[in-house]
This record gives sequence, structure tokens and C-alpha cells, in this order.
Amino acid sequence: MREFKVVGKSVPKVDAFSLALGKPLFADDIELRGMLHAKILWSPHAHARIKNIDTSKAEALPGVHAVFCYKNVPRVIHTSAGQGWPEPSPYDVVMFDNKVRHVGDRVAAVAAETEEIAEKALRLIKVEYEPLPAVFDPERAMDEGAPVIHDEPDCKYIIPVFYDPKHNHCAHIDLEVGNFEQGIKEADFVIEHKFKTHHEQHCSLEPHTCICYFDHAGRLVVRTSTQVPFHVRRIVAQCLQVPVRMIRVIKPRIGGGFGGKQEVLIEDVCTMLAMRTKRPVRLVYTRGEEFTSARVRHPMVMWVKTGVRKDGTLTAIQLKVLSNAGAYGSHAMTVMNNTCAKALPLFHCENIKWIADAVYTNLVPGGAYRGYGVTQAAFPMGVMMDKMAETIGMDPVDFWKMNTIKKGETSPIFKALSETGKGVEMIVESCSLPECIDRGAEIFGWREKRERYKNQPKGPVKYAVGMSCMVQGGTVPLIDMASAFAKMNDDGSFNLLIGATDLGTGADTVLAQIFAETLDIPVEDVIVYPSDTDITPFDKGAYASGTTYLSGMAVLKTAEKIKEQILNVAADMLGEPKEDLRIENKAVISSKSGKRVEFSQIVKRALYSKDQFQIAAIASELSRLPPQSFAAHFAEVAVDTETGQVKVLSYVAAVDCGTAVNPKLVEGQVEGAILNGISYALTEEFFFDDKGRMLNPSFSDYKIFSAPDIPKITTILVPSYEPTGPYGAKTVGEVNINGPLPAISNAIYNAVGIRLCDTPFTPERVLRSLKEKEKKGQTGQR
Amino acid sequence: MEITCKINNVEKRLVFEPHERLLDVLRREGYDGVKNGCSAGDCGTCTVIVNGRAVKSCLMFAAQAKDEEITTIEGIGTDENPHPLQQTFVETGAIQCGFCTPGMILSAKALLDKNPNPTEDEIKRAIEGNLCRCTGYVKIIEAVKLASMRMGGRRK
Amino acid sequence: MEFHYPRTVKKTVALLRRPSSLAVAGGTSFIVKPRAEHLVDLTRLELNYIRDKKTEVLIGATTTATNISESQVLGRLASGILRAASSIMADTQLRNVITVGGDIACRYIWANLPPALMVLDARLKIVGSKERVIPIEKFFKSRLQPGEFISEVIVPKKSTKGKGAFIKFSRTKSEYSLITVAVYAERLGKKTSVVRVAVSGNTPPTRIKAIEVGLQGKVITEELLERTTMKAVAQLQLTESYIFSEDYRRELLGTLLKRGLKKVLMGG
Repeated sequence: MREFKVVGKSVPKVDAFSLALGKPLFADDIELRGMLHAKILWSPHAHARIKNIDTSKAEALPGVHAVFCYKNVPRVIHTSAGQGWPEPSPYDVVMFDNKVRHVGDRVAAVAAETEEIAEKALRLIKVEYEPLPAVFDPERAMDEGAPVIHDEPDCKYIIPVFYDPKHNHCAHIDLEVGNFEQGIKEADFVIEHKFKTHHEQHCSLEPHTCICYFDHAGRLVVRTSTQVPFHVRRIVAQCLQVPVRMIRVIKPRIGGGFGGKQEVLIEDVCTMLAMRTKRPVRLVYTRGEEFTSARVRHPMVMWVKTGVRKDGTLTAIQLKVLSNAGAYGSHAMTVMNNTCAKALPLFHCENIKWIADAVYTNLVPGGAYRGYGVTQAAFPMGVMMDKMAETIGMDPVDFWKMNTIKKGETSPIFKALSETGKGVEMIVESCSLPECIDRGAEIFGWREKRERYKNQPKGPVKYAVGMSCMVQGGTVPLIDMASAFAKMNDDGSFNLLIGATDLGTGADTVLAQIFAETLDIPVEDVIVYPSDTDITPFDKGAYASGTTYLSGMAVLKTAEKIKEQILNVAADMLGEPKEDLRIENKAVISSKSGKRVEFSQIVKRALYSKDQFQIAAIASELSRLPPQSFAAHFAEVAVDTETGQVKVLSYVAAVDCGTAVNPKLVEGQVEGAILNGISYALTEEFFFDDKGRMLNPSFSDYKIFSAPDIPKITTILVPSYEPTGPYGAKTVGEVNINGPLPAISNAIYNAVGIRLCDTPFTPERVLRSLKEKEKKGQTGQR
Repeated sequence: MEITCKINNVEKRLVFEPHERLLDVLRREGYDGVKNGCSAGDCGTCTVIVNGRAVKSCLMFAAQAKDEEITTIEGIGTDENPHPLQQTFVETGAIQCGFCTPGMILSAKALLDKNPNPTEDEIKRAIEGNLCRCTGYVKIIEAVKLASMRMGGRRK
Repeated sequence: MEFHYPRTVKKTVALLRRPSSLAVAGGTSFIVKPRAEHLVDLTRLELNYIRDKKTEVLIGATTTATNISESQVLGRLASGILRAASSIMADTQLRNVITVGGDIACRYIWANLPPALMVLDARLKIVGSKERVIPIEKFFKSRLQPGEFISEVIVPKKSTKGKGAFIKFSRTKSEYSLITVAVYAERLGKKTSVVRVAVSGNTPPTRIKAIEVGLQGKVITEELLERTTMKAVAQLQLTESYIFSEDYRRELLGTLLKRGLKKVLMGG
């Protein structure tokens, strides 16, 4: 392990102090003269044709400046998925259509002087719907005669992949490495289970927010809460049918994203309203709209079959996936692909078969969500591993260690598949998962607790522990690119302009640290300016756990180029060859003569005195492979066998993210992901009625944890060194959200003997399963 | 209608419609640290302190603030002289996206003003009405503990 | 719309007699814009008090849940059941503004204080054109007349000497109650002398007389508890809920009732 000066230190987040003071830094914290307020009319039907819309009364209402519906905006088929071009999501959405495909689908929009007037205008819009039969169950969506959700002739993928919208079939891929059937034959035990995961909302505290206005040159400025400013620019230009040069996207501070803001959800309509009205327009989602009209984690049905030998060898894995894409196919194929591409390389197994389908239904559309398919697959795989270990009488800790990928090894999956299609071959060059498992188990007290809970206390509450391991590859190889630009100022400070998008994750800080480390300067000397499409160079955006690894490498390369320029000037100033010079503490020092020249002297010379030029550089980094981050999670639960309520008492995560550039920020990522995962496992739930309406679109009814609900969480960082990453760093944003579902399910099993394969683990589900088990037990006794 | 009240120790005259919520009026008056995360009293990002007690300004008519003393995040610290909680939130890594932070800090401040020496459970209860999706609350609780120590409370 | 700040009860009553007028205490129930012409602020009537009288404790209607949860006086009544009920409702910010009067008057199905007050045989002082005092249970079976509002809650001390228990069931700690159980009991020797039970969440706040009668004057055994509770719960009319099935909620209600009863009657 290398020692660093700035990397590896928990410097405070560069924006934290301003945020603590409550400064107006978010998208909605500006007030523009003449700003209009936009509101959207949503479909009350799960599936309906719009026979007619009469907007005349709304248009006539004083204070109303524009009313949009399918009749008066261009029909540009596109995808709202904020992905690179050509997007690996189907083009199946338009700004306004004459058909609605889920409750909460867009029907019309209004821009008015106030929000109140806009809301009033919405009530004056008369819509004539012709309701159509709807399909909600993904297992019925491809049935013969099922209602066709995308019957429009222009829907398509713009890349060559399977697509059969006439059967609601949004995506399909399958693959086999080795020979699955052979692997099953070689097994001593074969285990099969069906699993189901549920909807989840991101619940960023800041709702989707967009303010659009004109600059001095008549161009559209889009100030928006997004994870993907450059994709927003491209897709908005596409929807508005204007050149990209007419659009500037600015990302201010963002109040959380988690994937929900990797979607061009409101920018198209907000900019269109601004363009037509020639006024600034503000569009902010309500909390209710976040639930019904944004995106969710794709619910999945999964069938898993595995084979294991008595000696612990994992001989075969088959994973069949049915993903519920909802009404639009945004991220449907890529999330589905990750259930294999980014989840299965974890396992030592020669024979893997994977068959996956994504289907349209008339429910809220899926999208990107932290974990991105890996969360879904990690659940069944984690439970199956536990069951296999139990079947052969092995401690899960030992079974996991035996059957997971190690440093220097590869998985055939890497080459076979990536998020977008074909993968790249790679060797895992850094992996401390075995140490994670050992240290996690030790600090958690795995063996002691297993021993202790063999004797359960009297009373209705039973205790136990469970564990699981997880992986998440970062970036989409050969597609994702990031870049950075930096220039040197008179005092030896630097402007670092990055396309990378800090959503609250601390990316600005981490990238400043990488820059500072490379040039041996304090972090305060790095002035970070992020994500403004007019000013900063391109970055794919904040997704696929890519920022530290990929944008970090771009920043590192930029700093190295600058270092060369500084050394060149210093060599001239000192009259010594560059090879004898090194950078240290904001100065260049000669190893030979010991002479020293300060950065501020060097830059002044470059700017003012001799052979003047701007010390500046730009560099890009293309992802060559997806670096693998690992974790081992341990959960201790209490199950109330009379109420069915499950409480997580303590939780330990041992994490390998390579070098932790900023350990405190890494811990924050881990803790946040774990708690999100735990409340997803226990209390977060979408309820729909039989018409496809969500019944609980609010924080009072959709329950995420608050402080008194949290268990004791312990994070252990177990470093490794990733040679392809900046200072050995990998990724950490997503991997830890993949643990709670399997770890808690396994712990519940150990406590009360029920294997929960459907999520969430609600009190009612637990109690029902307990009763079913009791019944079976009784029959068994007879 | 029109009322007077004290905001951050300054006498203010507020003009609004009787049905308007304190949240919207405060934001309109430029107190942007008061956030709107749900408009329904569930998320706590709009928390302000009224007469020493943390309340949710989205569930309060602005009219109810007549003659009362209101404290917003803008009133408890400055760049030069931050509140100890603002300092410890920065130091402990309690701030990720920062959208919940103003409300979180105000809830914590109302607690420490009344109870300089809270237990961990008391801290959790004081911020139970403030949702955070980024941090898992771990570092937020740490920040409140640290501030309580710095402000002279003895740790229990 | 107009907002009023009356300083006297008389003026308040006059304002509330107008058509389209609404009383405002904490204000938390107004999540959407109220359809009313007159909003009448009750918090400037000096009704925020907890008074320890000889035979009763008086709680002013605008006393907040926080005030109740911190009250030494109320902590001494029936194992502090009112403190327990008020301290686990909603969250800190909401408890700081939710008033006891509002928690009753809004008739929320999840309200925490009404069941706790019911098992203490509390009465409500209602002012209007004339003043009247009614048992809290009666309030939930009747309506207020125009101009009327709850001004005080009266807790008789003689009905608070025994043990009380309060249970809230919810998915997360600060969620509103999905089920609330309040139990109060006194014993004379080995037998019970007084048993009062009330619930909310699955039903509007209501006493469960079948349990009270079934356990009154009895030596309590597990078997008796089980039989009495399950029989009573089977007969209850539950409201609709999408969160849990009716079967589950009925079973859960029985479980929680038994837990509450055991706690006060069998010390466990």
C-alpha cells in the first residue's frame, strides 16, 4: 500500500460548509423576474387512448401562458433514460402522446404566472379518454391477447437488439457459459427457488427540479437537478428539435439522486414551455409525483437453480429473470443485463446459464436505481448460497470464501456480457473480499453470535444472524468516458473544471483530492467547478459507480499534464534538466542542487514574464474494464414471532473499494446504502389498487427509516489496490445496497426457520410464513 | 394579511394570504435554507425553530407566526462565526447532499438548547422527524454528539 | 379567507358560530388548503396548561403533546400512560405543535391520545353557547355544534390509581399508529376490580367493553385472557386498510391487547 499526502485523508467536503449554513445552492433556490410556474396533468387511467383534449378553457384563464398536449408539440420519439448515445434503451416515449400507459403518465402541461393558476388551469382541461384493458402482472404481460402497451409504429431501439413491443416484450438476452446441465449432473444437491423483488422509489429529499431561462444570446439555459447534464443537453436538443449549441445545462448542488435523476424526466417539457413563452419557467415535482410519475427500481421475478457438491464446489447456476419495466423501457435492458453482467462474476462456477426478459406493464416505469439490477440478483444469489451452505453443512462464511472470485482470477461472464451487450475480458487485479469476510465476521462476532443464538431466550422474540457477500462492477467498459480541464492561477491555485456530477456524494471533493495529490498541493488550492455544459468538458455523468474511478483518472491525467508544464518552466528558470526536478509542497525542487522555485513564481513567469502561456491541460479517460468492488455484510435480527415484525439490531459491512480516497465520505456512502437497503427490505412498499393506482404516494405511507429506526451500523474498510484506478481506488457508490435483502433474509431464516423469497419482509409476510411452516411441520409429524 | 414577528432576531413585517404556509412565505422572503421536500409534514426539510421548539413550517399557517420568534438556518451562524453544529456537521461527514441539513441542524439545535447533554436515544428522537436518504444518520448523530461536547455538555 | 386571533372564549365562540369557520390549534391537520372563510386561532386563549387539582387533573385543550410527554403530574397517573401515548406519537416537530384538543377533535383513526384518555375515564369540557362536560367516548359518538370547541380535558384522579399500558404498532417508529392499544386496570387482592381497554387504528377510538366485562372481578389466567380477548376481537368491525390484510390486523390486535393486558394484570 502506498502512503499519500491528500488521498486517503478525510478532508471535509468542499461544499459542506456552505450547505451547513443553508446557502441558496439548489436548483430551486433562485428567483427570476417574470418566471412562470409549470404543472403537469397526469393520467388517472392505467391504459387509455386520448380521444380528444379541449384546452381552450385553460388557455383562456388569465395568467396562463401556455398549455401543451399531444396536439401542439412535435412528436419526437426518444428515450428519457440519461444514457450515452446511441442509448441502449428503447425509443418509446414522446413529450405528449395521444395514449397514456400508466396512472401518472403525462397528459398535458401548463405554464402560468403562479402555481395556483397553473393548478387551476389543469382542472379546466377536458380530456376524453377511451380506457383500454391494462396488464399489471409481468408474468401475464406476454400472454397471447394481452393488451399491447406500445402499439405506436415508431417505437424502436436504435441499436441492434431484440425488441418485440407487439408482445410487450421490451428486452431479451440469454447466455450460457460452460454447460449448465452438465454442472447439475455433477452436483450432489440441486436447489431451486422462485424469488420476487418489489418496487422502490429513490426518495431523494430534493424533488426533481428544473428552471429554464434565456441567456444574453438567446440560448436556453437549463438549471436542473440531474445526474447527467451532458445527456440532458443532448436529449433536450433532440426533443425540442434545436441544435445542441442552443442549450446550456447547469447542475447546481443536487439534493440526492440515487439513479432517479439519471433520467430526462422534466427538462424536455420545461424547456419547451420556456421556448414557446419566451419566459423563464420553473417546474418542480411534488412528493406525490415523485412516486407516481418518476422512476422506480425494476421489480423482478427470478427463478434460480443451483448445483453444489458435498465438498462445497458450486457446479452450476441458472438464473432466469423477468423484469417489470413498467410503461416505458427506460434502462430496462441494461438493468436486466446487470443481473448477470455485474452480479454473477462474484461466483466461482464454470457452468452458468442466464435467461432474461423485460416486459412492459401498465405500472410506473422502472429506471436507474443505485444497484441497477445487481441489487435484484444479489438477493436470490445470497439466499441460495446460504441454503447450499446449510445443505452441505458448511458455515456460510467458509462457503462464501470458497466460492467467490479472487485476485488474479477471471470470470467468463466478463467477456460474455456487459450492461449494454458484449463484455470485455478482464482479470480481477484487486480483491480483498476474503479479508472482508474474515474481518467482518470477527468484528461482528459471527461465530460467537451463532453459538449464542443456538439457545433462544424465552418469549416471542427470536434472534439470529445472517450474512451475504456482494460485488458491483463500476462503469460501462468501452462506452463511459470522463474528462477534466485545469488551469493554473497567479497564486499557484488551480481551477479544476470537471464534467463529473456531484449529487451530494462528495465527488467534487474526491476529485480535488486526486488533483491535489498529483501536484502535491493542499486541497484548498483546487477550485472545483463542476457540470456546466458550456464550461466544463464532457463526462458521462454520475452513474454506474464511475466517478471516483473514471473521472478520477481523467483528473489524475490532467494533473500529470500540468505537472509536465510546470516542470518545463521550472527547468528553464533553474537552468537544470527536468529529470533532476521534482514537485513538493507547491514548489519545484532540484534533487541535485537543492534549489527551489515556488509554484507562484513559476506561474507568474508563465503568465507575465517569458514565453508567456497559460499552464493548462485537458485529459479524458475511457473505461477499459469495470473494476470490481466487493463487500461482506453481516446482520443481526430480532423476529417477533407473534407480530411478525423484524428488527435489525446490528449490521456490519466490510468493504473493498480499493483505496478509500476519502475514508469518511466512503463510510458515508456505505452507511447510506445499507440503511436504504434495510428499509427497502423491511418497510418500503408500493401499494396499487386493481386499477393500477398507487395508494401510498407520500412519505407518511411509503416508509423510509428515520434515526430511531436504525440499527448499530459498523463500516470496515479493507483496502486493496486497483492498478487501473486513481491511486488504487475503485468504486463504492452502489455495492453496499446489495447486501441487506439477502443478509436479513438469511438471518430471519436462522432465527425462525423460514426462507423469505419474496420482498419486503413485512410483519404480515413473516407471520404468514411462520404459520405455513407450522402447518407443514404438523403434517410432517403425522 | 399582515403580521409582525421576529425572524433571526430581526423584527419583520410579513404580508401574505391567510391560507399561505409559513414555509412558502419564508422562502419568498429569501430564507432559502428552509427547504420543501414534501409539503406534507413528513420529511422535516422545512424545519424552523419557533419560540425555542422545532416545528415543520409546511404544516403551519404563516398567520400562526404572529408575534412569535422564528429561527431559520440563516440565523444561527455565519461564514465567520458558524454554530458549533454547523462546524461538526462539516467535520464528521454528516453532510452529503445537504438538502436535509438545515432542518436537521435546527432540530438538533432545539434539542441542545434544552438538553445540552443528550443521550444517543435522545438525539435520535430529536431528529426523528427529519428524513435523510444519503447518510444513514450515523454521522449526523455523531455530529450532534460532538457539538454537545464542544458546547459544554458532559457526555453520558 | 380571514385569520382571527381571539383572546377570549366568548369571542372565539362567536367567530366559530359563523358559517365556514374552522378552529386552528397546532395546524398540522391542514395539509391541503382548508375550504373555509374563517380560521380561528385557539392558541392565544391561555389554554396551554396542566393543573393538578385535588380530585382531577385538568389539561387545557391547546396543551401540546410535548408538554404532556414532559409533565411530572401526568407521569404519576396510571403508570404514566398519557406520557407514553404522547411521547411515541408522530415525531418531535409534530409533537411540539399537536394539541390534545386537536388530537381529539380531528377524530383521526390513528390518534394516540383518545384511547389513552378513554381508559382513564376522561371527560371533555366543551364550550359554546353553553358549557357542557361529556365523557370522551361520547364525543366520538356525537358532533360538535356550531360555535363549540373543546376547551379542556378532565382526568379524574380516582380512575388513575391502577396500572396503565400503552402500545403503538407501526412500521417505522415515527409512523402514525396502525394499531393503538390502551389498557388500564386495578386489582383488589387476587382479582381485578377495574379493567378498561380502548383501541384505535383499526377502528375509530373505542372502548372494548366485551373484554372489560369478561375480565372484571376475575382471577386472571393466560387462558382467560386469551379466550376473552380473541372473542372480543373477532366481533370488532375493522376499517379498510391496504397495508395489511384484515385477518392479519385482527390477529395483531389480539396479540397487542393480550400484551397490554398481561403487562397491567400479570406484570409481564
